[in-house]
Amino acid sequence: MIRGLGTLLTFISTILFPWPFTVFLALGMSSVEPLVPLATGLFADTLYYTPSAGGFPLFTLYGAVVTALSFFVRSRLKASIIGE
Amino acid sequence: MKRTFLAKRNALLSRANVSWGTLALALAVFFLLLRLLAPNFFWYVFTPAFRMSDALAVRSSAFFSSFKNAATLAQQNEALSNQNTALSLQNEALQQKMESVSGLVKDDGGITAGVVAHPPESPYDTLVIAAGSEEGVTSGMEAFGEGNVPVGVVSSVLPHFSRITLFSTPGVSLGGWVGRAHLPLLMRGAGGGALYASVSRSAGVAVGDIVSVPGPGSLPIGAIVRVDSDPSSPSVTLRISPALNLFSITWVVVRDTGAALRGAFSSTTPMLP
Repeated sequence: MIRGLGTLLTFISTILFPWPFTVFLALGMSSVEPLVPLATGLFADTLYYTPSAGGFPLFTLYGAVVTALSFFVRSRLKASIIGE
Repeated sequence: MKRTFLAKRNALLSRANVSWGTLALALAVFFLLLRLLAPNFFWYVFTPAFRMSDALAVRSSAFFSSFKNAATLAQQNEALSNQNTALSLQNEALQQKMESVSGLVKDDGGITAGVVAHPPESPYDTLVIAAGSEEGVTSGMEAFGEGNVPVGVVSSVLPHFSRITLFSTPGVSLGGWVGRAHLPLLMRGAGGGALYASVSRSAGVAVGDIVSVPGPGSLPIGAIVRVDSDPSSPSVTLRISPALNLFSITWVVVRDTGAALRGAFSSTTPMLP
């Protein structure tokens, strides 16, 4: 339930709160829900990305990187005796 | 025999992997598709959210901006604290100095009174003050303006009010001195706040010389603003302007300086009563 609330709060913060707070929440949630940074980045680009500007959807890219790192760390922890 | 590895064939879609993150990702993809396929509807749905975000941003920026200049405020607070300490020390030093000076100065027992009428409300060259016999004012006391400048003499007294006849009243004569040499002269009221006096041409009195009167001691009453000389006369007429604007005085101090006694000398008898 707490994970659900954290995920929801991260999504809401994308709209309502400053981006550093959203980044903080996404990084925090990445330890328990690795897909949240990617989802948040995708949602942020959905809201704020302007195709005519010609730039990359950076929020999605950053979210993907954090998600990949999170999965990598979790896989390492599962493979080690720490995760047992 | 069942093959247990089949249970993990759809591992990504298993119940264990349908987490909040997966739901969030699915929701994000849904919104992305919504924006791409139905942009009008998408913006119609999210416009209230953006308005709410703008309102919240305005309020939060006002709140957080108060913390931006924390360092400046801390420096200002420290400077004010130091200034407060310095002012407190200075105030304490001044209080000590005032106490030491007040111990040296003798209280002359004057009566401070506000001026309730001056020309043109009162007759010219007179003042009406809000102190009378009930406050201790008696006829013949001398009135002093700001800076202990003599301005006139109490000429009539009521229980709570008194009238002061200014030295500039026509017909009033007043002895005094002029210049650094304290050359004695007899001043006469010229009306309208001015006085005049006649001295010998050889006295060397010039414009700007200070005129003083006894009071006790020598109290400056004004300065010479013009010297009228007639070549056929051995004396010159000094036009004296008072040190104070007699018609702008708001308060006076009244005290007995023996003015009545001095007046008696000049008008009645050379003998002490």
